[in-house]
This record gives sequence, C-alpha cells and structure tokens, in this order.
Amino acid sequence: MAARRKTPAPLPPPTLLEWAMGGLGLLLVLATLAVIVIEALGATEPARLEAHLVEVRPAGRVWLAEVEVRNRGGQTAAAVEVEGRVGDRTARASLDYVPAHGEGTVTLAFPSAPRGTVGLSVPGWTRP
Amino acid sequence: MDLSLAFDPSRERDYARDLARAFAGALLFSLPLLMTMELWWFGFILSPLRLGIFLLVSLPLLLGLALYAGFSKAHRGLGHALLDTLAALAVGYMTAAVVLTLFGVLEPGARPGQIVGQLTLQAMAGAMGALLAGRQLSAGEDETGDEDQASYPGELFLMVAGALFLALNMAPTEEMILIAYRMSAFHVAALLVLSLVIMHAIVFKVGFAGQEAHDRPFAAFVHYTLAGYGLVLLTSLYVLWVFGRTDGHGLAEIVDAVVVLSFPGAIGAAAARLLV
Repeated sequence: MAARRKTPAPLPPPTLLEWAMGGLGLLLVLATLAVIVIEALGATEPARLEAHLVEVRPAGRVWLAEVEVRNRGGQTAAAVEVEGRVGDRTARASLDYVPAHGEGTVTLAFPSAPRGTVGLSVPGWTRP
Repeated sequence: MDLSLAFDPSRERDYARDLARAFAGALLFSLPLLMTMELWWFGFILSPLRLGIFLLVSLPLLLGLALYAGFSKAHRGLGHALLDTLAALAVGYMTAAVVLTLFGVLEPGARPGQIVGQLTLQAMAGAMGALLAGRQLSAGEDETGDEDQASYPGELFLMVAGALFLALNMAPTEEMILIAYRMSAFHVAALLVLSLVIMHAIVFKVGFAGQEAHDRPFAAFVHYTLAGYGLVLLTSLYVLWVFGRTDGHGLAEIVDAVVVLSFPGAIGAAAARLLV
C-alpha cells in the first residue's frame, strides 16, 4: 500500500474562513465541555416536584386550570402525574418529562368554576 | 503547513463552497436524529459523565474521518484535518441549533445543561455528516478521499465509522431493545450468522480485502469480516451504553440488543467504502 502513496503537493495555508470556522468549532466544544463539567460537579439531589396554579379560565362548559409543575431537584423526573381537586371532583394529567431544574405545564378540566382553592398534588413519577 | 494568515478571494470562495456542502452533509446525516424525540429527551436524561465521554470519544473519531475524507479540498495534512474537524463541529452545532429551534424543541428558558446536551448529541452526528459530505455529495467531480491508501488499521477504522454511521441513527430508539425482547436465543444466533454472511459478501464485493480475498479466502474472512464484526459488536455496545439502553438489563438482554444493533452496524461497516 505504501508504494502507491502520492507525493503530496506543498500545503497551502488555511483560508481566513477556515480559521474562523475552526475557531468557532473549538469555542463550541470548549463551552460544551465547560457546561458538562459544571453539571457533573453540581448536586445530584433527587427530583423534587411542586405544582402551582397559573390561571383558571372558562372554556365552553368546563373550567380549565393551567398548572405549572416545577422540578427543584437535580434529577429529571419522568411520567409525572399531576392531580387537582375541587370539592369532590378530581382531574388528572401527566407529563412525559420534567427536566432537572426545569418545568412543565398541564391543563386540568373541571365541570364547574373552582371556588376557593384548587388542591394540587404531584402523587408520583419515575426515574427516566 | 504554513500557519500564516493569507487572503485569497478565489480560495475563500472555494472553501465557502466546501462549507455549504458540509452543511448539506450535516443535514443529510443528522435529520433522522433531529426528528427523533428520544434524542431531544436525552438532552436532559443523559448523565453529564456519559455526555462528556461521548464528546471526547467522538473527537478523535472525527479527526480520523477528517484525515481520510475531510470536507474541504485542502484537508490533507494534520493541521488542515484538525481545522476541518473543528469546522465540521461548528457546522454540526449550527445545523442542530437552527433545526431544533425551528422544530420548537429548544426551549428558550431551559437551563444551559439541557440545551448543551440536546445540541451535542446532534452536533457529533452532524459533524460526521459534514466530514463525509465531500465524498457523498461531490458526485466524483473532485475526489477528496484518501482511503485508497488506507492501511489495515485504517480499513478497520473505516469499518467502525461505517458501523457508527448506521448505529447512531438507530440506537436511540426504543425499538432496539423492543426487538431484542421479542427474539428467542435461536433468533439472536440466526441474526448473528446472517450479519456475518451479509457483511462478508459486501466486504468482498466492495473490495475491502483486495487481493487477499482470492489468495487466502479464510484468512481474509478472519482479517476483515470477523475482525470487523468484533469491532461492530463493541461499537454497538458503546452506543447502547451512551444512550442508556443497557441500564437495568442483564447480560443476556444486553447481548441480544448488541446483536440487534450490530445487524445494521455490520452492513454499515461492510459498506463503509460506499458510505464513508
């Protein structure tokens, strides 16, 4: 194989655009590594989920409660169940994922206007 | 390589054209991944350790591809190959950022780690596509590849790259383990034999083994097909591990999933001369 090797022509210097793109690539890789290292060194406390009511609005015959679920823990939660109670009525919805330190939103539907407070809870989730 | 700065409008134009082709290559290769929801989730499911290892393992692999293929005409030499690698990464990141933003996958309020995770996985695939664009999209007008000169380790490297080319697209999906669950031991053994037979046929049709195929067919089978398949198995195991598909599985289930992913991997490895 070595016998077939072509004699290389003298290499031209890289063009300005080549330098620019190379520099951009290097910058992106280093930034990525920095974020990864910071993440790795950060806390890995388990997922901690809290639900709070954003707003309630009527929609036709039902009332919709928009609920925001925040994950204050350092681990992502999957298959997150969200439950809301108004009187003896219970509404449920689930989220595929709530990222660590992230949030997700669900909408719960109730047949009548929620008087007083909506009892919100996050009964369970799994680790992805 | 001369490291001085030089401005030559015609060469800048040539490089810009190569760069445009690199973006096309990145899109061509990474679109299936960009449109796979498991990969969006991996951005926040993957542990930083695995993401870091994935990034660090990808860099020498991309450099190897840059040396063999490279997207710009002037890729020869380590210095140019290094610049090509970094430029391909920039292309990969930019392609992923634009497409994922358009798809509404990147959330503006997300923490940096999530966005970096989502982009990095895609960017590595995009960079691979960008580096191969010179070969795949040039229609033979200017041959940028060097792999006719590949040594035996070089040939094996190309096989790994070919295996990754297909395995990366399939490994993130749920189906890999789902297929493994459905298969009995007999099915797995049969798939393994079929992978080897197809791989051997392609390796020899494409001419990986060269003259050795005619002189010593058994030695050629061991040197190329078996050695290549072994590397494909390891590559599949690595990719499955990166994507967390081995977590919580017993040895037998992991082996099943590795053989399943190695089926496309083996075809990719054998056809590396066509793909890569």
